[in-house]
Amino acid sequence: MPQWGFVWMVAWPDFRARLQRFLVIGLGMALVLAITLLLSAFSEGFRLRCDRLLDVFGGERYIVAEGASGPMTSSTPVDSSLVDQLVEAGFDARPLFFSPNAISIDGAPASVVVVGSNGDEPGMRLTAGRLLHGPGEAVADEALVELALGDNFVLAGRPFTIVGTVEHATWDIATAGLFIERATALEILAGGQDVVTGVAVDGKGALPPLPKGVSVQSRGQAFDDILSRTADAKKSIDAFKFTLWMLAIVIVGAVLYLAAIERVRDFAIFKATGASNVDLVLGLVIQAAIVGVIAGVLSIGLAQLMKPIYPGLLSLPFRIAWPVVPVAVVIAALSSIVGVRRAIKVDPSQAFG
Amino acid sequence: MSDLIIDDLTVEYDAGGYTVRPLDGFSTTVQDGSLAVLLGPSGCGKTTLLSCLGGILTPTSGSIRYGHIEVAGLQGAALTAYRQRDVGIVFQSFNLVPSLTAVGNVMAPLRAAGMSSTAARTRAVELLEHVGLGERLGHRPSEMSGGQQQRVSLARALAHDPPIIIADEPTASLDYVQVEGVLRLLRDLAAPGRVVVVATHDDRLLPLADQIIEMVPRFHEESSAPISSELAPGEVLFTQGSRGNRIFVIESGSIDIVREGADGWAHPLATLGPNEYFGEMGPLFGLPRSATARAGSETVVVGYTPEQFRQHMGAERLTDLIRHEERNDENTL
Repeated sequence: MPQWGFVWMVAWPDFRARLQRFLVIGLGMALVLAITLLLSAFSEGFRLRCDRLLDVFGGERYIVAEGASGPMTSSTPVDSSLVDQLVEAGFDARPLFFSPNAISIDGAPASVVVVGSNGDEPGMRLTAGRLLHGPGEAVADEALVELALGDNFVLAGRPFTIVGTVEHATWDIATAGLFIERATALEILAGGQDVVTGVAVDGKGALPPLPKGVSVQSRGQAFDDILSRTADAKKSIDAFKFTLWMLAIVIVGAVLYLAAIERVRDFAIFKATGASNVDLVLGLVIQAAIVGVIAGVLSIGLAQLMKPIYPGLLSLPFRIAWPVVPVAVVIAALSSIVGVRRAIKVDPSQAFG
Repeated sequence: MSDLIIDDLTVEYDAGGYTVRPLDGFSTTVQDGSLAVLLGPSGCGKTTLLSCLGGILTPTSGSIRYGHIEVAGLQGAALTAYRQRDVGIVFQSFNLVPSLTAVGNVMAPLRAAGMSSTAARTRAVELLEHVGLGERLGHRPSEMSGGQQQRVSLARALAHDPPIIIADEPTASLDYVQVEGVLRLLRDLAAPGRVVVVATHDDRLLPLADQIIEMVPRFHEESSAPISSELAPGEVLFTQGSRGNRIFVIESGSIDIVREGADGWAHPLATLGPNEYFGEMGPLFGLPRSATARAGSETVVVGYTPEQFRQHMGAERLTDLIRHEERNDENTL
């Protein structure tokens, strides 16, 4: 059974005596952890982007082509008469037309998702300029940084001018939505056919019987579909976070090991006067855990301070931030293993040296 | 009330491939209630013996008995319990934990043994007041003089009121003003129910001692003529680790000098012939023999005491003798 009173005597007075050094370790660890938090915030930003994108176009449910991945990511055409059918049944239904495409800006290509817009997107918010008024106009998402108000570009051989910018109409982290009039979009991208790539539906109750070849997706399914497009990016971020944790373990471990070496005489004295290995080990682990708590809390503050430096949609809610504290404690405890091994090996006869 | 009985204690370890025995068959008894002083030059095994008594070094063979406790055979929890309750150690360089106050240093072994904070503090304050440090309870070692630190060390050794107190050169780091209080405390500790064993070079402790244990046997200077010995082939003249006061000169035959390795093998160092001498370093410097001398054939050697050897060699040769030793460092005997 550990003698916790003694364990505390091993841990705390020495911690106070070397406070500056432990704070420096904690600060270093906090910086590394803050970067992992920013990565988490970036990863969480993906979810936020999915929600915002769905908010732009509204809809509690969506009608898409059978087998299509989702309303925001599929460009498989569906007969547009579905919209009228749903409106007649008392639902608020809006046609969606998305086409991943490339535009030419002064001869340079840029990837966009062309949106055939009726101007009735419920969540579309202008950040500059105005809405569409004519066939040669376009409104671009802010992610399309190459284009500003008044700039020109070419889509399918047709010239367009940017008349407004909006936010949150971004696909796959950085692909901007480019709004042009629906009729123009159908003309140049669907061969003039009156089609939709999906229908956004609001309203309660069972939907009327739908024709073959279409299916219904919930907002949740649509959300998961968009999010799945960022899975690889999220995996890379997780791997990078793991690498940073390992880095933190190595950095903190090295310093704690040096601290343990400096205390060899202390450990020998404690052992010679009857202390058990378990108590000494716990004393070191507690010191490391205190460093972990300090580093964890500091890292949250640092991440909040650093967040504005990074571009893009970063989201760091408390539910994402707080787990860094127990993670930091675990990292610090793991870091102390090398120092702990050194303490266990100390021969009490060294106290006679 | 028990005596501390040390019987045939041997400690052996490997040092650079060779076996070293700081203690070789050491036996003594310390009577209950007595203060025993271990005397001897550096390297004679005083600290090794104290380490064995303190349960922090396990001897290679032999026994240490105190009452019903066989110290040399303790392991694991029993050994930890022995260190906690039965023995108190006073170290040469105080060995206080720098981050703890005087009270904290004395409380530490009590808390390690599971005593409550309040009880441990009460006991620590009582002990520190007993050693005259009632005013220095909250001071850290760096804020105290050497004498004060040594008294804290004494108080810590007494924390569990152990029946065995061992002290390694307790006055070595103190000036003469500070020594007095420490000596008085050590003397007072030796009372029925407790033994105090002190390793020291400090002559001031000798008048206070009930028992003086010389770790290096004193050889009586023999006034008789040098001793001539005849050895049969393979006969051992002296063994590695033994002590002796004779330096040998070969009259006839040969002597093989071999060193016992930690691997159990005997490594030959030299074969000496007529008129060569060996075995000088042990008697001259009070060290154990560092190799074994064995007759290689029918051999006659003459053994001289160091004084006789000096006369035999003459003053000039004495310097040569040391140089001879330096040249043949491997042959150090």
